Parts: sequence; structure tokens; C-alpha cells
Amino acid sequence: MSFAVISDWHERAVKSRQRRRRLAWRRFCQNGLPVVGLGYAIVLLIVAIVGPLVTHQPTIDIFQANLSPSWTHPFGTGQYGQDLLTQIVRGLGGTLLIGVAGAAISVAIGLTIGIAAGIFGGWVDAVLMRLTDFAFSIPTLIIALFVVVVTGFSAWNIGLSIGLVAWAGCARLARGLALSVRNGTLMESATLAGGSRWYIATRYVLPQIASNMMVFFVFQVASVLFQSTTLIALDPQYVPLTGGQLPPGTNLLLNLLNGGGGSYIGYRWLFWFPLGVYCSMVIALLWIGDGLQALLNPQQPLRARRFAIWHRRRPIRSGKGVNLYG
Amino acid sequence: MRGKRLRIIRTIGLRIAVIPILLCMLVIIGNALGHLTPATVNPSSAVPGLPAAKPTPFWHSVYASFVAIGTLHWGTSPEITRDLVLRSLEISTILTFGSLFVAALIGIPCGILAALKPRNPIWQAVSAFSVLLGQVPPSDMAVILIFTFCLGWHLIPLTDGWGTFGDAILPIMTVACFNIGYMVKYTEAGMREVMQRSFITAARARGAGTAGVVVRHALRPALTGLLTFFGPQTPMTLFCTVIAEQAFAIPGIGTMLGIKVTTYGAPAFGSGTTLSVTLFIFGMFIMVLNLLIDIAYLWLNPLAD
Amino acid sequence: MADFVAETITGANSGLSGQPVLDVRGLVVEFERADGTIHAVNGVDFAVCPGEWIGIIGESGSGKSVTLMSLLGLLGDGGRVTRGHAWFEGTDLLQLPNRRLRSVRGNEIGVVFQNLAEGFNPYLPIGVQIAETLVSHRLCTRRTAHRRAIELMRELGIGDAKARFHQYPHELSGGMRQRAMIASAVASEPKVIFADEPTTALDSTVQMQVLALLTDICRKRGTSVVMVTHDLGVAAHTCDRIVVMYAGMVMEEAAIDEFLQHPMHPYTLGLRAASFDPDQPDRPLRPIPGYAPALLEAPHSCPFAPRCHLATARCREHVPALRRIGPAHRVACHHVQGENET
Repeated sequence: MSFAVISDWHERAVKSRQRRRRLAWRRFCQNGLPVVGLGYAIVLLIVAIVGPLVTHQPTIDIFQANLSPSWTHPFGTGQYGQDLLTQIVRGLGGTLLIGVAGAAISVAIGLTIGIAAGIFGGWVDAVLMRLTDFAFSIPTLIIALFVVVVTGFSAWNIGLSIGLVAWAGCARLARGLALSVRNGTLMESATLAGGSRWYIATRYVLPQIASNMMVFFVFQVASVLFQSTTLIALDPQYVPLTGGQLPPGTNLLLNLLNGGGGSYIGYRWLFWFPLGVYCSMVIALLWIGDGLQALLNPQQPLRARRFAIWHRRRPIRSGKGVNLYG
Repeated sequence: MRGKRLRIIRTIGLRIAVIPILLCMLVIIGNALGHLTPATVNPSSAVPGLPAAKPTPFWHSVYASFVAIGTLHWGTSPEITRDLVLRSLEISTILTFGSLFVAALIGIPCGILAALKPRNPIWQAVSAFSVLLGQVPPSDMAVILIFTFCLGWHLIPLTDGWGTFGDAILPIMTVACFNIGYMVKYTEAGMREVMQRSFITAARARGAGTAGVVVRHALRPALTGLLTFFGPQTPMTLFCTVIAEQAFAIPGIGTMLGIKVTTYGAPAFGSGTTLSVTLFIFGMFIMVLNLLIDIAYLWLNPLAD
Repeated sequence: MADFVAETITGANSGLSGQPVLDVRGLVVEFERADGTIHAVNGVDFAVCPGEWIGIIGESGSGKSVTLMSLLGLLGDGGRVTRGHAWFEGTDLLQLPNRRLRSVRGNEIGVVFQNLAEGFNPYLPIGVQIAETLVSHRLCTRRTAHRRAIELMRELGIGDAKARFHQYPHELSGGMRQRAMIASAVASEPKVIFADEPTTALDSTVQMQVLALLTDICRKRGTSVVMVTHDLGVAAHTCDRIVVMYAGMVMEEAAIDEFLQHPMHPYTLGLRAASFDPDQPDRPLRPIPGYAPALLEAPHSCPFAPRCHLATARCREHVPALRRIGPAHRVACHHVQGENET
């Protein structure tokens, strides 16, 4: 008899997990945008990986310079006759690398500092939080600029330099979350069970704040990308209204962004295509982040499915699943 | 009441007292960074054929930085005079605060309306568009604005430099566009959250109308949320100002300090002194902005300590 | 679904006289949610006479608060009134446009909310929020309203009212906040007060104080009160008439003496068996088995049938109508014989 009860329990647990997943997915795609963003980001990722394998470095041909979009050159050509689409496709990977590397480094630093401050408390907390306040009030990009100058101009170095200075927000968030976990009863029970600080940090605190950090990471990628455009715009080779060229050895979408500005008058495609690709990429990231956030902390109840193709009837459930009126 | 006001004054006083210490730390950090990499930063060593300059002792260069800051004689070039420095500071202040003001003027009402009318496609479109605006790099935003308003619709004469009111419009708009995105987004999010809370229902049950509920009850909590999110954005606002100055050839502090990199590694900031002066000036700007945000936060939020 | 529009018990039956000041008939409220339409209130009717206290009791989720909020047009996102009337001074509240309804809220019907920290805006001084009722209906000038608020705070036993006027909600204790909430509800001398679990979050001594104040101030002004509560004891202590709700339907309605002496509905009996009775301290408490239904469909049987020990096939097939069984007693149960049937 007890066995039957257990097996029933298991089945119900699986069912409820499935239902939770379905609801989570519906929350994620509540207004459709996060799914579009996710699809677009996946397409971009595939292009960024496959693109360099199937294309060649765009050839320079003065006689082909500044051609408007056509079948042979879908996005037109640049001022030295390079195919713009090829340039964008080959520059995408480096741009994504900047965003992901920068966000990963800043989240790693911020998470470490925030969790340490939240768990140890006391003077460690005080020192680390003053450090964070300091990091908030310094001109981070100038230091990042300096790091780029010292280490050399490349996608990885730009990501690294921004990641090294942009961790303050993450640290503050992680500390807040770690504190809320620490003040819960779970932490007390873990301490009473004799867990060490390291054990508690990695087994109790980290898993609980990981999902929030995921959301932060997505937004941070967008933020790092924005900061890197500013960083690159400070480069003197970008002079608005006169155009610019790629620095040797680097091939970034971000460079095209700034370089295209000069050719706006007659050659608008040189401006709009790179800007369009960049902006759509960032907006897709923001949509994904919004979807994840809606999934994690639902502020509004899910609305009725209005455009359902088929109507799924569910049996009336009794139980505490839905607390309707509070 | 009295105790609360005292506490606020003490908090702000503490913040102000910390600012000089932080600024000194920034100057020292700037010099330390300059010293760590003399070959890259020192211009003379980057030019082949010239003998490397003898590095000055660390504390001497720190001292030189403080002298440069104190006498308002920045960098090495003699043409940067005291008047020029003060003028550039003034221009950048106008740009930064003007853009924040414009952004708040446009962004906050848009955010409120987008939050109050979740089914209205117009306001949802405005909200989505402003998020897009906030993500366009400021250098490109400057180009777009120039070609839309000056060359496209001929609304504003295309000028360089600084002097007339017309010169300020486009740079301020460029910086404001970045902030409008954040303001709309966070005002909207804050407003949505506040409107769900039960004290709003209680206020409506007391007979307050929609306008009364929004202005008297929901606005302040929503704006405190905006301020907490907005604090970390101030450095980026400042960098957008620098980019706008570059794009419109305005003699602000960004132009004055010549913040630029060359890809070939050569003179970056001239010397550790210039780097630390740059850090000092920008740090001062950011700290003053953050202080103002803190004061606004304390003023808006009675719960804060 | 059965026809719910039945005759209501008015004050004449419960010992009070006069036209009902608020008469709710056949109220149906639905919520649109992801899981489907939630039928929160399914045909509720009751009447409130001048000066009468009505207690609405039931488990959480039985639609008590929703009933009151729907009358004032304060349903949250997705909620709507699909049917019913609520006659108040010759007008139907449910048909009023929002602007006219606003002049009723606070002005003619005051609301006392549950004592959550959220009942008052944490960003505004408490006095300003008490005076808000008067100010937003333009009943008097701002200065008069503030003076009136201070007077009310004194009347409700808030010491040092002038200083408290400028304090923020988080600086007041729970009991003080609830007094201030009552002050804000009675500020404009409304005819009816909706009290939504006014004492739930308070400890029992403060609870009795606040209840005594509310009783006192309403009796003095002749205000009717509709009180939603979980607490049978509180309801028995203060109310003239009890309405028992379950799954958005009225299960039993009776004057207080009748309710205490001859409860009829199995659900009422279950509620009483599950709560502590000081007269029989040794009686074991028996919870009602099962859970409240999720209300994803409109009821097509007796909603209490799955948890009722008397349930028969008839209970599972027909919705019981609310029938009068005595001068001041109505019950919705197939097993209770109506007045005219025997």
C-alpha cells in the first residue's frame, strides 16, 4: 500500500514539474518578444560561428568602391570596395566575444565580491561595499580605455578591459541576494549542520541566486556592448563625417558602426546596415532578458491565452494550487 | 521629524566629506597606472629613434598632478589656459545637466503613460522606441540627429562649436536619447509595480481620481525606483557627453583633455599626469552627480536612512 | 445554474427597520486568468439596513473581499462584474460610470482595509492620507480637512494627534495604523463602511480595542457596516446578521441569535466545529476535510458537496437555491426544508 502511495506521489511530482515548466515557458513568451529575441540571437550566433568558415576576407577593389546594395553585394560595398555583408558577418563573432567576455568577467568579479560581502558580513562587508561604492563613482571607461591602450586593440582585450571595471552593479545585486538568502532559515540550518563558509557559499547561496544572475548576465552583455561602442568611438581613427578604416588585425562590427558614419551622405547603406545589425542584436538581448525576468519574478498573473489555436480544457483542480483572492 | 532631518544632513555631509578622499585616491591610481607601463604611456619612448625619457619618481608625478589640478593647468600644452579650462568645465556641465533635464522631461511622462495604458499600442510603441533610442551608440545618434534635423528637415542650422542656443540643442539631444531609454524603462517598470500595490487600491477606495492616485501616491515610489537604477548610469552619461562633444566639435572637457587612443599604442594620455587629471575631473563630475541623486533619493523616500 | 435572485432578508426581519441602504442582487464576478475564467462570485445577494452590522464569513478564497471590492469598482486586473445589481440610494452602483462611482467611494461608502503595512502609502504622512477623503471629494478646504483629520485621530484615541499627523505609516504601530485607517474611512461620514478583515493582523487585545472603537464610532453615527472576517468570534461579538459564503455563493444567512442557536447548513456547522468555542472548551476541533474548489467553472452542483458528509446524488447534480426557512434565516442546502415546503 505504501508503495502505491509513493509511486503515485512520484507521478504527481513529475506532472507538476511538467506543468511548472509549461507555465514557465508561457511566462517567457508571454508577449512573444522574448521568443523572437531568442530565435534571432541563435541565428546570429550560428552566423557568427559559421560565417568566417564560409567567407573570405573581403577583397579591396577601388573600382568597386561605394556600390549601392545589389544582388552581388546585398549590403553594398565600403569605401575600398569591400563587401559590407562579408565584413559584418566576419565582424559579428568578435563583437559577440566582447559582449560575452566582458559580461562574464564582470559577473565573475561582482559575484565573488558580492557573495563574500553577503556571507562574511562585518568588516569584510564594509570594506568590499566601500570598494563597490568607489567603483561606482570612478570614470570606469577611462580606465578601460587605458587598459586597451596598454594591452592592444582586440576584441578580447576590449571585453577584458570593460569586464574589469564594470562589476560594481553585479556586486551590489549579488550582495543583496546573498543577504536575503543568509537571513532565511535555510542558512541557519546549514550553519547548524556544520557547513563551512565555502560550502555554504557554493552549495546554498550560489544556486539560489544563480537564476537572478542569469538575467543580470543577459542585460550585462547588452551594457558591455554599449560601453564598447563608446570606447571605440573615442578612437581617433573615427572622425565623424570623414569616415574611417579598420585597424589592422581586427574585424569588428563595432568598427563598421563608427566607420560608416562618414559615408552617410551619399552611401546610407554603410551607416544603416551595421547600425541595424548592432541595434537589433542588442534589442534581442534585452527582450531575452525581459522574458527571463518575467519568468523569475512574475509580477503580473498570466493573462488568458487570447490567440490560442486550440483550446486546451483542463479539469477543475481542487487544492491550494491557485490562491485566487488572497 | 527633526531627528530624520538631522540624519539626512549627516548622511549627506558624510558623502561630501568622502569625496575629496576618493578624488585623491583616483589621482594616485592614475599615476600608478601611468608608472606601471611607462613604455606605452610615455610618448617619447614610443617614437622609434628617440631615447626613452627618464621616468620621474612616483610621488613626484603625484605631486605634479595635484599641482596641475590646483592651478588648472592641465597636461603639457601651454595653450590650455585657466580660462579655457573653466569654460570647458562650464560647457560640459551645461551639456550633462541639460541632457538629464531634457531626458527627465520627456522620459518620465512617457514611462508613466506607458505603464498606465498597457493595452494602448501608441504608448507601448513609444516605450519600445525609447528603449531602442537608448541602445543606439551616441556617435551614431549624433550623425542621425544631424542628418535628420539639419540636413533633412532644415530645422536647426548646421554649426560647429559652441556659443549660441542652437549649438546646444543637438548635443543635448544626443546625450538625452541615451538617458530617455533608461528613464522610460525604469519609470514604466516602477510605475507598474507600484500600481499593483494595495495602498493604491486603498487610495482609490478613499475616492482619489486617476490623476490624484498617480501624482500623489504612485509617482514618488516609482521615482525612487528610477533613482536607484539611475545612479550607476551617471558615468555612461558623462561618456556620452564626451562623444557628443567630439561629434559636434564642442570645446568641452572631453575635447580639452584629448581623451583618445591610437591603435598603434602611442601617446595615449600624454603622461600619468594627464591620465590622473582626467580621472580627477571625471570622478568629480560623477561624484557630484551621484551626490545629487542621493539627495533626491533621501528627499523622495521617507523610509531611507 | 439556479436562479439566485430571491427575496432578501431586510432589517425588518432582524429587528431593525427601514429601507435597505444597500441592496445587492445576483452579483456575479469573474476573473480572466491564464488557467481560464475564474468564477469568483456566483450570484450573491444581501441587503444592508441603516445602522446594521453584517458579517460575511467564510474560508479564504470564498469571494468575500471580491464581493465588496466589485461593488466599488476596485477589482484588480482581469476582474469584471458580469451580472447583478447593487442598489444604493436609488442608483445601481454596478451600472455607474467610473466618475460617478468615484464620488461614492470614500464619500458615501468608506473602506477599512486589513491592517497590512501596505494599507497606507508609505511615502505620505498619515494625516494627509486621513484627510484625503475630504480633500479629494472637495468637501471642505485643505486646512479644514487637516483640522478635521486631527480631531478624528483624537476621537479614535490616537494620542498626540498633532505630532502623529506628520508621521509616516512605518513610524506607527499596527494598532495605531488601524485606528488611522478607521479615521480615514469615517472622515466623510459615509452611510456604509466596508470593513475588509479589519482586525485580522492585530493581536487579540488590540483587536478588541479596535473593534470597540469601530463599534462605538459607527453606532454613534448610525453607519451600517459590512464586515468581512475569518473570525467567528469577532463576527458573533459585533454583527447583527451573518452571511456565510462558500465558493462565491451565499450558503446561509441568519440574524445573529438564530445563527448562534440554530445553524442549519452543513458548512456552517463544519466552520463552527473547526473553531474554538469558549463554552465547550473540551470539545475537540474538527477541520473540514478537503480544500476549497478552484472555481474554474461556474458551479453546476452544490459547491460544498465534495466535502459534505451529507452529500447525496441530488447535491452533486443541482445547485441548491437559497431558501427562506424562518423569519430571519435563509439556507442553501437540499437537506434543509424551506418554510413553504413542509
